[in-house]
Amino acid sequence: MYSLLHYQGNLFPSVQNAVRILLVEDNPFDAKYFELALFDAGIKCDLSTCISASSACSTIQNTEERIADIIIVDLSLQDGTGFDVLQAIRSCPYHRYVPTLVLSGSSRTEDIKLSYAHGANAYLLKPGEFQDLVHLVKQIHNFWVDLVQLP
Amino acid sequence: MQDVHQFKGAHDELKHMEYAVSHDFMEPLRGISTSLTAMEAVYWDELPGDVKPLLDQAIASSRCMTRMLQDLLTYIRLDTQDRRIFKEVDLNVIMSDVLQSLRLLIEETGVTITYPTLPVVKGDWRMLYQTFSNLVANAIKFRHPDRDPLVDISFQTTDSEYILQIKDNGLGIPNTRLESIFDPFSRIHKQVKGSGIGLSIVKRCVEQHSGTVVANSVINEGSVFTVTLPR
Repeated sequence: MYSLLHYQGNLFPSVQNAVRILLVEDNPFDAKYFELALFDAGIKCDLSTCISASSACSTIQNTEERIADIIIVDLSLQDGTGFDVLQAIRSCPYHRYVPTLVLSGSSRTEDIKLSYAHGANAYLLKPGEFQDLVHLVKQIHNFWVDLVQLP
Repeated sequence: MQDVHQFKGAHDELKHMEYAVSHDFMEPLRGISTSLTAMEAVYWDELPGDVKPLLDQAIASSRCMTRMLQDLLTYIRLDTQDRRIFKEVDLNVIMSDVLQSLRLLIEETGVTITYPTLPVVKGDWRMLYQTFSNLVANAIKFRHPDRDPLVDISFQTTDSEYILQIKDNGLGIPNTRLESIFDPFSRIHKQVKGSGIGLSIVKRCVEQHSGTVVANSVINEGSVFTVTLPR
């Protein structure tokens, strides 16, 4: 049985044409749960994580090409907010149309409205149980990767 | 002028409480819950036998707390959200949504729920949904162990009011508690899982519609909840 929680690097070996997921999450445990859930769900992907709003914004802004097929953003980041990141994503010519999903612990209507106002494709609540997170990532993959047509 | 100040003060306090519950309580609890359930999902086979029931207990407790905090948040938000939007609401749609959301409970308990065609009323959709959802769920949850549960919903219309009744044949409520059951955290039949906030949510929602809710009951025979809404 693998020892996932001690694994330092990316769980997923580099696979050609694997979907590239960019996760913006400053809580290392939430990041780990997300990674574990993808693994548990059997989703083949190339996962990168930005652990702050500033690193996410500068990563997006300094790129010369599209670097992610799906972007997942947490709202509460230590040095800024998910809204700053959403803004950076939507003003970047390479990422303007990339499916960007907010994954947040907040159920406040203001947060939901603002997320859509900043161009999020969807707002998702962080589930309180691991199996629900596994289910969630499967749904994300089924819809945004398998089903939806992207430009 | 003083009233306005007091009102704003109380409103701000509630907003703080909403933030505190949502952020300072629910976030860490979510961390606990996800961590424990990840342990259960990923490491179960490697856990020593003695640890497994401890983990199960911890998960059950954190689920209980999560439910309570969610209900508490709902209750607080009834007062902090922007003023409710009153529109035409078809109670039949509410009813079928409620039954759909309770379908697992309905299947498990084998409860028979009867109701007529309901009216279209003017109100806030979400609040009316909360009201029905809590009352029907309670009627099922507080069933009597010795008999098949029955829930009957009926309504009357007068010139000035809609009168809705939700009747059950469950455990009943002691006479001395018929008013206090609408207080937050008030619980009577503690063997039944619940947060004690459901009925306070109902009362708050009904009050926002300038209505009233009253409980009548015979202990061990059942209860009737009467919701009156002005037309």
